[in-house]
Amino acid sequence: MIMGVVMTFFQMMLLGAMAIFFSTFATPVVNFFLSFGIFIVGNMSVVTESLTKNPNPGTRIVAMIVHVLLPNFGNFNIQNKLIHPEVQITNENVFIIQNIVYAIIYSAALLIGAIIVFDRREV
Amino acid sequence: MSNKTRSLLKLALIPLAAAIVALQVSIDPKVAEIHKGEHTALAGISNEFILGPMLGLQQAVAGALWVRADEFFHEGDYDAILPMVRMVTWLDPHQIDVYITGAWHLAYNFTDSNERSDRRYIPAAQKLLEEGVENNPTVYDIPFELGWENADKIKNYERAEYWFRDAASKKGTDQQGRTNQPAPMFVWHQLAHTLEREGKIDECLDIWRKALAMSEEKVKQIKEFKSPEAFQTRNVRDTERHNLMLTLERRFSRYVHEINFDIDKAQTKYIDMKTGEPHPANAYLATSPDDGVPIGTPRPPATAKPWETAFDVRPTFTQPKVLDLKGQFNIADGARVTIRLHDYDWREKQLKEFTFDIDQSQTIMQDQHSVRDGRWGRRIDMSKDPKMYSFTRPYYYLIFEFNPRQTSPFIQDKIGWSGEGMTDKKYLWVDRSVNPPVRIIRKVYRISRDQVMGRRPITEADVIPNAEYARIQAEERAGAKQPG
Repeated sequence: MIMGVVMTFFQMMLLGAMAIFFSTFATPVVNFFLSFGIFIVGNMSVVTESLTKNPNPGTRIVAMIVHVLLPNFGNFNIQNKLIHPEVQITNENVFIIQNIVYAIIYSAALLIGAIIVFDRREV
Repeated sequence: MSNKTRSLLKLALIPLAAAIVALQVSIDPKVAEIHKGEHTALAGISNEFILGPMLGLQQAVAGALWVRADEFFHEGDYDAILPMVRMVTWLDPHQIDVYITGAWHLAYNFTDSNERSDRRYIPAAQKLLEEGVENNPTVYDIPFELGWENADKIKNYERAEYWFRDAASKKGTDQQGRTNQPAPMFVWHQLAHTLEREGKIDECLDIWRKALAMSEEKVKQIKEFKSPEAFQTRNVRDTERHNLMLTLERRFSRYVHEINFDIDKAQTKYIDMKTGEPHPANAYLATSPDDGVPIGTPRPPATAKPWETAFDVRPTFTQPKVLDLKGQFNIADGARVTIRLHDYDWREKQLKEFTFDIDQSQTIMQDQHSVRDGRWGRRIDMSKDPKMYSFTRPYYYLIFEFNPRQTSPFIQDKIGWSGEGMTDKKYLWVDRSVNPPVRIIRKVYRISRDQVMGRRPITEADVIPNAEYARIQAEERAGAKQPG
């Protein structure tokens, strides 16, 4: 149970970093829709991942770019594991640690991006 | 911020971006494993549910849809449940109950106006369960259901054995839902019953012995003698011992010396746990001249003298699609004759992919009639259900069958597990497609659509040899491959 909460915390941390990044150059309304839209697409990372195996090369490349560039919020959804304890994740601890590191690094990159953009603005 | 700091920050983004890509590539296979079997089934989900899956809450939406499906069930709107089952298993392929309940619904609940199952849904039910096994390969529940459906509904005991063995090799769950328990004992019990239905008595006895040994071990480990768990474990062990002894005694009675089970109940002190021989021997010693041997000597086996069953039936279509049956069968009351009417090209299909769409042009009717005082048969009205019985083909097979493997134990006490104790001058058929072979009684007609519509009478000239129908069945089996 606690792992689900931890994963959700890091998912929200990543979402927060993304909203901060957008807030440095977008208005609040645009920021809201941009963050929400990316949150939805990022939650459907299973779909973008499956599209990377599409037989069409064009679709494959676009899907690959979207899948790798956008934050994959879907990776943090381990509710299934909580609801169905019989589902076994191979190397569960490694999986959780990888996701936490992913969230920290991605958030760091977004915040650095936010600093760089914000630095150019006149306050 | 100085230019140097800005450049450093920009430079720092490069290794961070590389690390993100590397982590993403490493995480992807594990995510694919967790979401195995899931489909992002956004198309088809009503608006009130669509946001959930988009925000990664598939399981919550699946749960809500399943509640809706339950409402449909109680309203009697059975057709509406099927797309729900499909959607729920796509959104959350680990909801084991949905596979099991969905398959039960498909196999048992679609019926005609006389409660006869629509057997065209059975392949879909089987496929749904097989998909469930694929998505949940470690737990026993779904293979057990496949075994049960094959044993109870389809009467394909070979396939049932395969799935019960599969279930027995998998894990059960504890009270927290963790898969760290062996499969429950009832899985082994059903495997033993299925082996008995297959006529594999030695294997059946082996399973009872194995189950009994496992339960004995569990009883030894009990610490609190008066706990409900202890009572339950002892109860299971006693049932296994009872079933083992009963099967041994039945084998002895049917194939060595016939036992009088009333005397057995009153006088037997113990039985030989290898042969099933009761001690003292009173239960199998002749007590009257009717036993066919001198009084006080062992009776012959119950199946020694096969009795003539004089099986026959006269089918008549009194009105279009209304079949009237008058049958005779010299066997104990309570025996059941299976009646099957199907298209000449009907096959028990195995679906490659699950779909609940069925071929509406197919006709397959199956029923069972009980024997009373040597007679059986009643009216089968198929005219009220044109969707189930469309009769679009030019020819049909009408089969009347008695299989001793499917009958009650008290009848098997007279005819054996494989029909060794019965014969029939006209309609006995030894089915060698199963191992061990079984002697069944079967009469098969090949009739035309005109006859189904009552325009022409059915006569004995329409009866086809059992060998010919066996050849058709062999083709069916070749088309429907066995699992594994």
